[in-house]
Parts: sequence; C-alpha cells; structure tokens
Amino acid sequence: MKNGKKLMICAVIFSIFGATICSAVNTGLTFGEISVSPLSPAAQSTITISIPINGGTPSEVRVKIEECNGRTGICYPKIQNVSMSLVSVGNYQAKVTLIHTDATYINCTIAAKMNGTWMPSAKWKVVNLSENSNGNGDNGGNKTPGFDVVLIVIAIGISLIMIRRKREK
Amino acid sequence: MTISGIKKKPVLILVFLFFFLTVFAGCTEQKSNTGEDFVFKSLDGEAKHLSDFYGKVIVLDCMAVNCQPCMYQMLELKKISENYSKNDVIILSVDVWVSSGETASMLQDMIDAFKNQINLTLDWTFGLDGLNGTIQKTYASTGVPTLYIFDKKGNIYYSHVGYEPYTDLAVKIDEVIIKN
Repeated sequence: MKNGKKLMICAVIFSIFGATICSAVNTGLTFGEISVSPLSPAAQSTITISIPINGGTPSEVRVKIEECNGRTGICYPKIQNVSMSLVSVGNYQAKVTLIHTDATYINCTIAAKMNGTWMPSAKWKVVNLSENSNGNGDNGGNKTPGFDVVLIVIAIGISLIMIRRKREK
Repeated sequence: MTISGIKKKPVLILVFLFFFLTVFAGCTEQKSNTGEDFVFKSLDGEAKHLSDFYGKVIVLDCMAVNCQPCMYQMLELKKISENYSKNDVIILSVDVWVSSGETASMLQDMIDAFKNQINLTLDWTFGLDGLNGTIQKTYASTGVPTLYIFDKKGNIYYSHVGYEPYTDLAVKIDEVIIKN
C-alpha cells in the first residue's frame, strides 16, 4: 500500500483510539506504554504483555489481542480477551499464547475497570511477528488438499486389498 | 456377477468410497454460499434486512473497527461509492465483531474520524451484527474484512476474504451489472 494511504489511515486509527484518552484521564487513570516480550515473537508462541497504570487501582484489567495477516489483509475473529494480573505496584501483566499460525502481526489493546466502568487505554500496541522457525507458517492444517488425497489413496488401497482377497477365494 | 473377471460388488464399494471422500473431503473449509438474508442494526438503531436492498447490486463489507485492513478497505469502498450510481450499487458495511465488544458508538467514532482526520465521508449504509454474531458466523467466520457482491436477486456472485483493492472489486461489480 502507498505511504500516503498508510499515513491517512494511521491518522484515522489514532483518532479512533485517541477519542478514549479523555475518558480515561477523567477517571484519574493513566495508562503507560504497553510492552510485549519477546519483542518479535513468533506466531503461536506465548508472549508476555505488560502495562503500568497509575492514578488509581482498577478492579480489573484486561488485554485484547487481535491477530492479523498483513499479506492477505485479514484480521482473525478469534480475539483473545485476557485478564491481567497485578505483578507490582501499578504494573499489570498477562501471558497469552497466540493462536493463528499465519498471523504476521498482533494488535494489543488494554482496558481497565474503575468504579464499575471500563476505560480503554488510549494507546495500542502493534507487534510484528517473526517468521516461524520452520519458515512455513500455516499450510492449512487438515484443510489441505493433500490431506484429502491421502484419505482417498488409503480408501482405494483398502478396497483393492478387499477385491484381491475376494478373487483369491 | 463379474465384469471382465472382476466382481461387481467390490467395484461398486470402491466407486462409492471414491465419490464419498471426494465430495465430503474438505467440508470444513466450505462456507455458506446461499446468499441467505440476515438482519442487521443500522447506526440509528433500526433493524434492516439484506433483502431490503435486493434489486440493486449489493457490496457487503463484513468489517470491524479494531481491524487495520478494514480501515484501508474503506478507501477502496469510497471509490466504489464515487464511481457507481447508488441506483445500481449499494454498499453495506456491517461491523461483525459486536460479540467481541464493538459498539455502535465505536463504529460512529470511526466514521467521524475518517471525516475529521482525512476529510473522507463514508456515505453508505453502516450497521452492526447482533450480540450473538449471526452475520459473523455466516458471512465472516474466517476473518475481516470479508467482502461479498450480491447480484440484484440477492445471490452471492463473488466473495473475498481480506483486503481487496478497488480495481479488483470493480471488475466483479461490472460483471454482475452486465449479467443482470
């Protein structure tokens, strides 16, 4: 995609999320930077997401992880919404195992519950995923045509054995 | 009974097995292609049916606010909106991640952001799936954006999962307009 297009959309995305800044500030909550470890995780690996939250103690903090594939331009519907634990004063953390084999990036957004109201973090984190160690990514799992062909070959093989046995009788 | 020395029954079993596996193998990847009607909620809260728009070519964009490719897709849909008469082609963008927490106000914020940030008016029909995610399950189970082009009778003419540039969509729209 052209750079101009990307910049335009970045402005829009920032504006969508930026609209939530004020509401979060009004509650007294201040969201820090979202950090993800490792910095460039692989698809289907387990990652640790952390965020400092100051200005209050939310009753619950959750992180939402969307997995997308930048090559095909698709975001997958299985969005993980995981509860974060308070690991030290003002610091929340969650471990999440990524689901999709062919995701190329993830988008993390965080929300905190304060006085019964959910306040989304104004910032979100996009993390590019590294290639899998086998360099292949998803080959479709059991959806590949190859899997079907194997079944057919096995069925034909069994049938031929049955035919041969009957003929021998 | 034999056919050239081969018994008929095993051969029939073999043929049956072959066709059975050919037909049913890979069923997990198949998805609805019926063009079935659905109800969505417009931004003003009104319940609308896909069938309300039959009689025109419908471009259905199953999208989500928290989906970057969907934002890029808006630019391509805008070109369709500009280049085709609304008497011929209707665009419906339906947020199908309502069951994941997306709301009408988030969708409205997105439309406003396009208008305020890059002066782009998304001048077509927007709506939301229900909380049970019926549209998502039927039309966008793989992910978003998922695009469909329906002919004037409401049959699915074309579908594509993932971002699709205007040029590719326009080819399919032209085809379906001519076909009708």
